[in-house]
Amino acid sequence: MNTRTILIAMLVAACCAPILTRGAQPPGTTATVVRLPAPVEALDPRPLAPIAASSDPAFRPKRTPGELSDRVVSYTMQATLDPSPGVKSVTGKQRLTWRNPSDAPVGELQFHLYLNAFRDRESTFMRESGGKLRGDIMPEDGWGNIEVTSMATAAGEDLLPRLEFIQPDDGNVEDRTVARVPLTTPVAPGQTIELDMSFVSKLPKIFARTGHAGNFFFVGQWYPKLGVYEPKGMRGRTDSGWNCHQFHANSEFYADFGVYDVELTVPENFTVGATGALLGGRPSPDGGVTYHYRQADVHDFAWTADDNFVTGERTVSIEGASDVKVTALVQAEHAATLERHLDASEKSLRWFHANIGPYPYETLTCVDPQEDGDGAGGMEYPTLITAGIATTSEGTLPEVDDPLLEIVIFHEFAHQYWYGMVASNEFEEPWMDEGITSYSEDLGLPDLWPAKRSAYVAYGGVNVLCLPFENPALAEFSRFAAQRSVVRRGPLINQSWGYKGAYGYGVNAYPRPAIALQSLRILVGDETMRRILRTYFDRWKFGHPTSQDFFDVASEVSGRDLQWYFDQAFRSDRLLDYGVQSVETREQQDTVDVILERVGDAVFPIDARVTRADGSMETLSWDGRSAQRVFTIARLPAVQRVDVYPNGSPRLDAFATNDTWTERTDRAGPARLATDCGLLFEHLTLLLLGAF
Amino acid sequence: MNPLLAIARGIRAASSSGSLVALGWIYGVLAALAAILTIVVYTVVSLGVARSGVAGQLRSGLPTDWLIDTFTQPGAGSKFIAILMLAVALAVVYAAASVALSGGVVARLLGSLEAGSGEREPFLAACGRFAGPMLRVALIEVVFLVVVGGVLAIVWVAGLAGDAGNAFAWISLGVLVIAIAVITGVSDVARVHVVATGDRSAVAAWRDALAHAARRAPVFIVVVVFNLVVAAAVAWIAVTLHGTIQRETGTGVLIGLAVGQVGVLGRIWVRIVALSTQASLRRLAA
Repeated sequence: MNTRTILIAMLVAACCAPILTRGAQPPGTTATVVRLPAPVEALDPRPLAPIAASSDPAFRPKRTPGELSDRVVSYTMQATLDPSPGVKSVTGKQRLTWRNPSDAPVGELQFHLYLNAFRDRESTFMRESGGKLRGDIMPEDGWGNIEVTSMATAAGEDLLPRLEFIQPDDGNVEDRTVARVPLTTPVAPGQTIELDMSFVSKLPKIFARTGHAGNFFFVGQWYPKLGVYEPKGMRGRTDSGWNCHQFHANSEFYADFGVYDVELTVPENFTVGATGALLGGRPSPDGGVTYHYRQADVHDFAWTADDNFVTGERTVSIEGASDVKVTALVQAEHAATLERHLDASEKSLRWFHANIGPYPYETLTCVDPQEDGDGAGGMEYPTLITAGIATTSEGTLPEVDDPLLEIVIFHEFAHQYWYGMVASNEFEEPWMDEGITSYSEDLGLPDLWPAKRSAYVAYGGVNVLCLPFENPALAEFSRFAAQRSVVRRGPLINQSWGYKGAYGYGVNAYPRPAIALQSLRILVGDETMRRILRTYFDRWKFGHPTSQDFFDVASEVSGRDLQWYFDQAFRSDRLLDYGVQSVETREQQDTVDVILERVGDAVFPIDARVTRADGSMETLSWDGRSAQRVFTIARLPAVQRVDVYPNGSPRLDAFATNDTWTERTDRAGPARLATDCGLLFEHLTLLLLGAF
Repeated sequence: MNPLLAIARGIRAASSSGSLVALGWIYGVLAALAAILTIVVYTVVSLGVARSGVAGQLRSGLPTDWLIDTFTQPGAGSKFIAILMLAVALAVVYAAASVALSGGVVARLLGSLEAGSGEREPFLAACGRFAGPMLRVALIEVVFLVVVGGVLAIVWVAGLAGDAGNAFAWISLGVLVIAIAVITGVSDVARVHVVATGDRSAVAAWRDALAHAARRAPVFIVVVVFNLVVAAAVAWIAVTLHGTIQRETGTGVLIGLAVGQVGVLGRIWVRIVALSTQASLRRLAA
């Protein structure tokens, strides 16, 4: 058959399916159960979004005794902060050691120089963001950049003249966020190369996470950092090569694990927080104080310094794990929230330890940025997270029953697992970090803050209005990401810069994957889903997995091939929507027809529940493939209610109203809403027009 | 001049039987318009959740599932806009009705303040007699509100956008609210002037009202602020009280409706008290 014949046959079949299905249903029996998986492509021949294949088993995380990760890289650094007005820069030196993890020589190195995203308006970051991020606008005097002032091999060969900027993602020649350096002598497989580098990082005014605001400094993306050299087979690669993306507006992390040994020199009156454990401090011969930090098995190093921090500390001891020293660095005017920062950090730590896996580091530092530096709020770095009273409470101190601060801390701590330890490629598969983190919120927040929590509207530094809903329940709003307007714009999986604008990235990186995972939980059950996450973390921590690696874990743990689900939910623009079309009584046959329908084009197995007047229940199982399914069941006792999803609605289902059918329409609910609307009208009318 | 005396007499006049008739008329108009909106909303919502379990979820407030289904489905926007347009149209009807009724209200208040001043004119007849001048007074009030309120609102919004600080936020909001209250107070005096003198010129009424407010500025401001505070307090109490009613059953909805309407009635009465206190003050000053 040619293509046209096949398409016509499919069209005819699709049109006839409801009729054939209905006619085939014998009265008085329950439908035959046909369980997925089965190829869903037959329903819809549109191609699926391409994704990287599963990682070659040889590239599963290596477990060397005493080491958590395969330490490919290490940095030994000395950096000095000059907070003087007009300077605001960090001068640094680093010795970088890199091991070639592949089985072929590597003839060049590639570096992230991400501070150059803030060099001018022409960088890819600024072009993509339009100069705005999280509501902040880069001021004209706020630019920053990084300049590599020297680069030489341990043998003394000067490599700086060879350094050139490249633009592997978009060819924007004005972008200087990635550089390559050809080597005279390639690095042999398994061999290491050592480079000595010096650099000057002029910090931008805080606009996108990093920089300065007054005397508050948040220093991220601040040093020349190697990209990831991916051998063939790693993350499904078909050939070896560097994975070193430009700095994009919506993503910033993918790097190798290693050891960071860093000395930071700051003025005496500054308090410092950083990735890793503080080994000690000493007066600097050039003035100020030098703090020595070290952390192994992380893929980045960030730090903060401020002369307005107050500090709180707590040691969290969890049975079966090493103690964690939790530090909160909070703006002095927010000192009353120190305990809340510590409590939320501890609760998050304990929850993840119990539900996902142990936190292997000895420290966790939680930072409250200065009010003008709230662009640095709500961020994650290894063992270092930022929250931000300025962001969560609009500058007021948070109310006792407003948990937004805690929610942000929980979210950023969740990143320690998915961004930090699992370390997926945020550029190429952003859902694997933000999406799983958002889903973690879905799981953890109800456990940690189950009581009613409110949200407030602040005005003039005072919380003037308590909104009539519970804050953690905001997660329920994530179902908006299942709507046609979102889903039809393209598959969930894409490169971070491949979505349409910041909204496209935001909705596909955060809520859409979160509801896809919640829907998977409905499909496989709570306990299985919990095991899927635990197994995924345990297998892939320090491992750089792909989406397919996650999918494989889910299928393996659940004991059934779930690829059909992931293909639809993550790799297609299919819309999920099932509903009860009608329940029709046939008096003569003494039966009732329960008609379920597939409104969308995604397929999901259905186990609908019928509840009768005497309280008895029966299940109607349907593979969900046809457009409609009629179940003919006994008329008595009377059918009172039909639930398409008796175990909870998958939030991926676009329309919840048709998920249930009731014998009578409840009147009190609509009456409450209508009378409240009438009353609101009266009050607003008196407020606006009462003067007459 | 003692502002407390003006306030006390104003409250007494607003509580007289004649004034309560006026209260009943204004409330009746507003309640009837609200009932139209309520019935329309009930019909639209009921149809949208017909035979769905979501209808029951509405008993506990606004479930997120319903909100998402209602506002994200194709065609939802047009329904929402239609209801909004209806509400705006009903509000305009209320504004017109309240202007039309204001002559009768003032006549009843003056009648109560000047007890024994002869036979009382039927309420609707008084409304009809002063409808024209009251409309013109209201139009001048609108001009003042748009010009003065508009300028202050622009300063207020611009200051907030420019991050002018918390002190600015509160002071500018306070100035804006008091300015609107002062304009309303002056307008009330103009309304009283029309009924008390029989002068149908709105311009003359406003001129008289502005002169009165300027001559008695301290007392006038005290009465304006008193009215503003009482109005805000009663509104807050009404909304808060209604919020405490559990409305998850049919009976609860009915109780909530009744309590809510008592609150609305209270707010309208407080508005009549404001008018009455200005009438009382003007009379004391005469």
